[in-house]
Amino acid sequence: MAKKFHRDVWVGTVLLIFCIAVFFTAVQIPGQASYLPITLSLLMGLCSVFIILKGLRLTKEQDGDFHYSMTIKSSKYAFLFMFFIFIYFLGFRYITYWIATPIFMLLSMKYLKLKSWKVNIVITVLYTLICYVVFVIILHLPIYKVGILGQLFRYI
Amino acid sequence: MAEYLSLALSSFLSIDVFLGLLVGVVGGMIIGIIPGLGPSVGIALLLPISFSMSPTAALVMMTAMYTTGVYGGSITAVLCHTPGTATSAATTQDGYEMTKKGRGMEAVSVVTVASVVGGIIGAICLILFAPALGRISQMFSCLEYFLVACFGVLVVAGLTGDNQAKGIFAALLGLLIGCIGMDSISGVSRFTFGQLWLEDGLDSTPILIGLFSISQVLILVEKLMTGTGATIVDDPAAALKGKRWEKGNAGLLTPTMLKSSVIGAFIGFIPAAGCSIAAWISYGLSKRTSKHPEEYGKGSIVGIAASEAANNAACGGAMIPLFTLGIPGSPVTAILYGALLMHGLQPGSDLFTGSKAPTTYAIFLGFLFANILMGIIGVSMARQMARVCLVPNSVLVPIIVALSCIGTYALSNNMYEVIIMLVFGLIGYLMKIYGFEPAPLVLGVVLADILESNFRRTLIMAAPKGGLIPYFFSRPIAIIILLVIIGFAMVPVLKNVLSKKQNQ
Repeated sequence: MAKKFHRDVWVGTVLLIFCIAVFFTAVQIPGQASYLPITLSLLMGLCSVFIILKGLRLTKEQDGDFHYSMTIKSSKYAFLFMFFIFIYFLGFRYITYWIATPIFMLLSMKYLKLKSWKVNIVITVLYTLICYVVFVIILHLPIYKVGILGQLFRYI
Repeated sequence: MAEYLSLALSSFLSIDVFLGLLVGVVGGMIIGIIPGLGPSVGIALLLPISFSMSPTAALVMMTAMYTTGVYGGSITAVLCHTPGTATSAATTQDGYEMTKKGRGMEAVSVVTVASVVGGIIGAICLILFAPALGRISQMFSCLEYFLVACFGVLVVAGLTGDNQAKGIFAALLGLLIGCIGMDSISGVSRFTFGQLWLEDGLDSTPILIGLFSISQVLILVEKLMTGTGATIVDDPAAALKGKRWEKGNAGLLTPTMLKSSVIGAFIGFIPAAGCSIAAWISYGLSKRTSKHPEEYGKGSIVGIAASEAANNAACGGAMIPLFTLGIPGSPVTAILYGALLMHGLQPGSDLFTGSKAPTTYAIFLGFLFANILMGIIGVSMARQMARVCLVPNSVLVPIIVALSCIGTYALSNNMYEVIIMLVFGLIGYLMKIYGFEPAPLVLGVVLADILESNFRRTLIMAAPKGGLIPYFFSRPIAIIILLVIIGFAMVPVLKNVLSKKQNQ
């Protein structure tokens, strides 16, 4: 049976591979501009080794009985919500903030267990209106340039 | 000077100066609360409005917005783990922990009082010592800036959490992220992979918003969906029952606030350092010299006072080289520089003598009054502000996400900034899962350019003077800063030795 390692061993290993990749990219930078990235990649590599060593020590101490306060497995809702945020970003980027935001707020508040539709709608409308006044009317943010429907919400 | 001050005081009887002060204070607090928007955006917005105003009213309004904008960012940092700008990031460490424990009202009060004390000390330095400190500021060069940045990096050692290797890795990663883009000395592109939008490098604010706000949003979502937290506070029923100000707080916080204000004002008047570095250095120094360093990061009011007093004092400090030498050390002071010129006030010794002196001192007094007014508004509204922590997470989460997106876009009207913010939100969440602290990473990003560019400029300047070591010994301020750094590094060692002796 394969021995179970503390997750810091894997984390350190991934970081070490990352540092090696950074090092080989940094050495290709010409002149003095490469000094700091090379130094940083070496120091980061050293830190990764320390992380691995601490992970190995914890593996020995805890003998396979590891308790993590947060894990990837226990974060499925967080990652799902991150996916929603990404969809919202696409709506912001390709449609317009003023349509993507109310849809995102209505759906995400419902997903996050806000029971009352009335409260949901009132908050969404109020937020959108206040944001429009602050960012478009007062701050003159050229947000109308973003998204195909942005021009519809241009304030003259 | 007394004559100029009395003339300056009389200008506050004018309605436009008083209105300017009020608009600056309230506007700054509002703009500071919005993630991504800071005092620089607010002051830039005021520029065209101020064109028709008197120089005193216009500059009082702008400097008021500067100090209250920094304060406003700390309110959301404390209540929602969403610092408005990098200057408030250090306050998040302890402020949010206090809010979670139902002490949000007290945290807001401590932030307010410390900001007022810091702001007032910064203003006093500005009024009394501006010309003298301006001359000292002129003695700073690349080597001194580099050493101050080194001091900032050293602070990281105190912010690393349980696993020092992880903390230092995060700080180094921050420095590496700061290297992305065109090298400021040689013009060589680094880690841009042919992407033009990366040539300018990554701004620290979207990274900060992602690491602090979006990652916290994901934590709140996970808690909400698993039924372990419907609001930010652990016990909503007790959230507003706590006191605004505990009895012993004044005695406990006064030494820290005074010390941090002086540190903040000093770091502030070094061009290129700025409020965020002042806040971190002061926080790190306070933790390192504290009798209870283990309380930092877990809701220490002393930690909040240290960072808040320093960042507001730094605002006053940053205006010293601006008014005396015409050196703007940050984007905010650069806009203020433009405003000074626009109103016919040419920075230099002329501003402190002759016909323009009453206007200059009126601006400084306005900065002082802005801090006092900010304190009155802040303390009286602490209870209302603390109510934010009772808002259900199901409402707060979408608002934070939407506000972070538009606030980040407003930084430079660029969607790439929003992408960076979201990517760092995910990175921040992964960092939390695997036990990495986000604070050292942010500090690394902020310090990277100051550290590298000034070191390389130092090398260039030292070459004709026989190299780095002879050049270093020819600069007394650099020697003093290095001694302070060594002293700072030695504090834990000395503390260990002393405690061992006491045990024996």
